[in-house]
Amino acid sequence: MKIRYAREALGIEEDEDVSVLIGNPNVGKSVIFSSLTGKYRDVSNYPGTTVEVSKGKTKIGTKRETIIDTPGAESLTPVSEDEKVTRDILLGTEPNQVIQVADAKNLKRSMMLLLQIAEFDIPMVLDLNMMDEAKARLVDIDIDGLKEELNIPIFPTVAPERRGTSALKRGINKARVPDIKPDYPDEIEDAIDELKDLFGSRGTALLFLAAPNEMKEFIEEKMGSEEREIAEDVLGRLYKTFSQDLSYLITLSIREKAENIFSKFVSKKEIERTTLKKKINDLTMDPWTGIPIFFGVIFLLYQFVGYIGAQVIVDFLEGIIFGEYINPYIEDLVYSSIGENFVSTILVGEYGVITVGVTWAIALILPIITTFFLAFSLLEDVGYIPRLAAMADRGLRKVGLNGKAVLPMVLGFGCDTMATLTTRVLDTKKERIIGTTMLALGIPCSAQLGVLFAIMATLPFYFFFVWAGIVSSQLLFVAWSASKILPGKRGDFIIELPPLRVPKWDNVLKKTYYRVVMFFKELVPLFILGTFLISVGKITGVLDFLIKALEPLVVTWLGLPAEASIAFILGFLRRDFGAAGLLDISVRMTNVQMLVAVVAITLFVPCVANMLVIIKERGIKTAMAIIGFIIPFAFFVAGIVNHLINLFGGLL
Amino acid sequence: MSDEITQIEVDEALEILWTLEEEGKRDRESFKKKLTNKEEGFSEHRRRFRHGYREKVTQRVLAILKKRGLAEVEDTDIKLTNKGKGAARVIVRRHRLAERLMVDFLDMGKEDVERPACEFEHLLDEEVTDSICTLLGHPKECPHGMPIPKGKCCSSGKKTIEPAIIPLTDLQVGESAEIAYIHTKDHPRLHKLLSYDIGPGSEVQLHQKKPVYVIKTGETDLALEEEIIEDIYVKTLD
Repeated sequence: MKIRYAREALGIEEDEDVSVLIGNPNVGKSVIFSSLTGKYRDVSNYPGTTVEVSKGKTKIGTKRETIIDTPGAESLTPVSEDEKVTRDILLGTEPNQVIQVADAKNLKRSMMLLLQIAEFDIPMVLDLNMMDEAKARLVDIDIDGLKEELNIPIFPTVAPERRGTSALKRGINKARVPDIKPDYPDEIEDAIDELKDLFGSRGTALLFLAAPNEMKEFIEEKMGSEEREIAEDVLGRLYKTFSQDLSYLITLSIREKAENIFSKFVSKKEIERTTLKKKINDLTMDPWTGIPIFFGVIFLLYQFVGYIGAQVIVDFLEGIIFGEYINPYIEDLVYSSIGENFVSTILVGEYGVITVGVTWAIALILPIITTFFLAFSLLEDVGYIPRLAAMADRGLRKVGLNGKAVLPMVLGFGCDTMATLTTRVLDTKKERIIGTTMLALGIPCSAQLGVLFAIMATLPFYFFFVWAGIVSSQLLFVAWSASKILPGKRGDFIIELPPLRVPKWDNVLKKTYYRVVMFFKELVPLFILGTFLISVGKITGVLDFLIKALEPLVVTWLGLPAEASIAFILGFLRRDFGAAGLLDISVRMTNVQMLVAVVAITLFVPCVANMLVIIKERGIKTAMAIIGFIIPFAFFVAGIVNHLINLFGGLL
Repeated sequence: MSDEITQIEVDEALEILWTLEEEGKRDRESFKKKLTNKEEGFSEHRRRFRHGYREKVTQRVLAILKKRGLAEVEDTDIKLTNKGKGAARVIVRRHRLAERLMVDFLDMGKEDVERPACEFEHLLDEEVTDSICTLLGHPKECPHGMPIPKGKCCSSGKKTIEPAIIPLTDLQVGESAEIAYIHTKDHPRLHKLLSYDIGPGSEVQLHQKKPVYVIKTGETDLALEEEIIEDIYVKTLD
């Protein structure tokens, strides 16, 4: 983290004025951001991370300022990547003011964050959002008293209904430096005094004391060796004084002060009626009703994304719109203008960048991500996503993941490529590797599932269970082993369950739109690059070479006809092509051969786009390790199935 | 003024040796310093050390330890024998349990408990010690973060005296409790819990245990996995 790096990273001009929006997770910060900035926003990943940061413009007083929406943070001493980015933005953008968004019904937590921000001497305003929910829960806040205590302007809002937001917008330029601080132990207070000039502010000095390792780069950039020594000395002295962790002591002091403010200005009328809303909230978490609701939601999600999105809409767009109208027209156009040559093959050939790559992007990826994000944003707006994760936690823990992995896994049955992108929501590197491997290994995407079901229909019904049993047991076995073998830890599962609420459709649509645009931009180049690589492979003969090279293995080890080799290589291009290739030659295969082939193709490599996403997300080394494991493993398992069945002849 | 070394002093000496071993020290010099340091801990009987008796007393105490087969002295190193370890373990256990009792139960400050705990440790017999341990929910560490040696009651998991401090996992669904302490060495986890306002003194209500734990703190409902909940110890509220 270079000091002014955040400005550079976010593309902020030298003389641009900046305001920063900060808040705990789930306080409605992004809705506030929308109401401050209007339509235009620029969403991007913070460089070197997978964290999204939005940038927009708003009018503050008489001038237009840039406003940055930071990821939700519980604390500025970072535990998560999100919090790290928020801290870096606060330290590195030199904002004119900070707008803190707080959840009015959870003021204590917001006060803890506020006390940390207050140490930076930056003018602040406080937005007390979700006033309606606080009111519903009979939480009463003495806003005037709080204003006086903190010495900053406070604006109550109900963001989704735009209540109070224009007053907030008008009031930003009245921001003031807060006048409040926790009572740290004397020794820590002395240390802050000694360090504050060195570090530029009390806040930065505190960040150093609480987590010196997190401030290494800052120190290296800003300080000479002499100053560094002073800082180390002060730190060493505190280590000798206290037996406890400094960050713990600092957090305790902050917490005590927050509690103090809270009890002074927030009161709660004791009697809270059991409302219908509360009952519904409880139903979603109770094991007897929560688990059926969980499976119901997963089922509907799959129906919407995997069936309506990935099959009905895709069939229409790909088969009819592109297949019958657009692509024939473009093929004619290309062939008639430049004839049949290298370039036309790349553009509109069997694996043409336009006829296949662009077609997929628009006819296949667009409907899948649109339906998915529509469903996701709706569930998110309703407040069900954390509940979904909580219900799935117990199961996913067994394979080294936690509840947060439920969405990537479900999404994998729609499209593995896109699901791999969403493994970003997982906390640790280890979990991301396990999640990515599971998706690539044994979760068939909707396109492949469709063809696999068609093949299964030609076999005796119990073959389906044998297939599902083999694939799922291998999948769980691999994930479980990976969780034991891979170094590192599983992230802690602590998740806030916000109250369920009636969705606001304009929020849902807005969020869907931004997400679709962002993911689409990321995925399209990969699909085009993928088809381009395959075309080149076809023209240069590499593809034919691979098919030939695979043949002996297919014939001797798997006991399949030589042509099955083509299906495996096509499966690399697109998973359902591989399965369809098997369907084509199914008349020449026995039932057992079909089973072996289907097991192999389910476990076998992901499609080329998925592979590119794995490389992009996990890095080339990890990606190669994952692929290098999956290919032999798929053939190994399928081969074992083949030999076992032959050994115990006629078992099936 | 008698020159005799009392049982209390032998106990003190054993405790000092145990603590030194935890710090990885065995040298006679540290032992002598601790044994004769009037600042540290109990004691009228140590006043007399002020008058140049330090070396003499150290020698005498070591002689007794040696005679009773509790410690061995090699050059400048002092080592507890197995028998000595057994005896020291019991004393340290009493001392640290006493501290826990005073901090968690009698709401005394961590800094104020050293002296009374020192006196306490000589008064308890095994049965009372185990009762206190059970009462406190078999704590693993003293308030200063040092491990408490386990007793018989810990391994049998005895809970028959209605313990006042219980793991959060033992709380009944619907009950409220105040958090007494969180037993974890995992700082990011502790930090995360604190930022959700889950820390000593916070009031929580247990909503459900299955399929995940859900607790309510302030106006926030939190879902947490069992692994984390197991580290949290609470005082029940009536």
